[in-house]
Amino acid sequence: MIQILKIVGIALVVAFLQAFIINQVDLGFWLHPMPYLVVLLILPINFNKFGYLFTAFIFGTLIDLLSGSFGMHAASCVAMVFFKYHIENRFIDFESLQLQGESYLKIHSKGWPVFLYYTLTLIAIHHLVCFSLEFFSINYLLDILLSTVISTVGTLLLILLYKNIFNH
Amino acid sequence: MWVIIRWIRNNAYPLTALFLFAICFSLVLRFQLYQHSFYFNHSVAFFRSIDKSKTDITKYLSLKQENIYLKEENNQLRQLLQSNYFPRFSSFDTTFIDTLQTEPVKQVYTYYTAEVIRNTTNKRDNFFYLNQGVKQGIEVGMAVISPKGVAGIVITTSDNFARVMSVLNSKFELTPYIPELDLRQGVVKWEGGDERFGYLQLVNRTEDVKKGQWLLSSNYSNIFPPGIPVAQVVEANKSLKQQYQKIKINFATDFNRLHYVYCVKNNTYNEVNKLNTENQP
Repeated sequence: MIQILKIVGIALVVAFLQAFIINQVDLGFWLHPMPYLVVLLILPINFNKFGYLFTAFIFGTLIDLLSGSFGMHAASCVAMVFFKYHIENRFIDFESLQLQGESYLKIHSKGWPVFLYYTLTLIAIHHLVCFSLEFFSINYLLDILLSTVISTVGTLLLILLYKNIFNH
Repeated sequence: MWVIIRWIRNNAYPLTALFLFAICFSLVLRFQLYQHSFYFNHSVAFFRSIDKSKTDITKYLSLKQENIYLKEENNQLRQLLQSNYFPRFSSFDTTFIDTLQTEPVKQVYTYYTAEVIRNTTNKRDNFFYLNQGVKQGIEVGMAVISPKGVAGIVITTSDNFARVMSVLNSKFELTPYIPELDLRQGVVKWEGGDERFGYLQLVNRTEDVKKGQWLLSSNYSNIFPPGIPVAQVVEANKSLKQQYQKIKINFATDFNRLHYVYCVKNNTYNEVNKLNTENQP
């Protein structure tokens, strides 16, 4: 219960941070970091998978409401969580994590490479869907891919910063 | 049924994800201005192209009905032609002109549509049959014209059918009008053989008939309305030995493809004929 409240609190704070600080800073055409993905990355791994989807939907809708876009972030969050479930099932050893007493993948639980692959893949999926919906045309394929790559790096850096500060 | 329910239960997770994604996507399409306009512009163009290919296929199915509509419309339009009405000359009365009391315009030619149900072109004397008869207003002696030109004359009628003497008949004769020469002379006759070609005979050799000139129905005719194409001159060779030219012509009507025709009634036929018979000196 406390964990759920904690996640809800983090979600609200991160959403407001995203909407009122990071979205307001103009970092250039290609770079749109979205560090609110932290919330989805720290969800407990043995959570109900449908609960995951609805959590992602509601959280994405919250971001959408705050940043004035309708459905874009929600759609990309749903897509990301959908793939997150499959990636965790295939590539991450559930039981060893639980034996370590951790509820989600941390940097030191499996080491840097695993964490980087995992996080980068999920962020890239999210950003690809998000930018595809934003540009909405096959003519801008190059723009979509370029902003996906650059923003993925930016988001990853911000997430690492967050993890350093709060030691999550 | 159970198979479907089991399939849904087995695939509940991707289906839920797809469902949520579809909701978000519809939100994007509905409320994001750029995406909305992009989607609707392109979908409209897409559905237009589908509609177009669909009508390309289905328009052939309604061709028969379309033909009937066009026939009716053509009939109405032909009734409105200026040449169907008596020309009205204003009278020279300087004292008093009553502009309110004008006579109603009298129509000279009335048109009836008909469909050819049987047709021959390969005999010496050719006839064709129409699916309209006395009950529909067809009378003996009415002119029959196809959309392209003169076709024949009604010779016998029954209640619902009529028999028409085609132009391709030894007894058919018509004096044409050549607008370039202002000439009303000669007789159009068919001499058998090729159904496309006939001859214009008894034209004076001084007349300069050339290839490509059109032969129209004359306004001297008591049967055919004026200005209907009859044929086009194919070959005109003057021989100095003879008084009259014999000119090869190509009929305007394609008698092998005769389908819809118009029967034309001359409402003044009897009145003009009376002048011929009564009180001849």
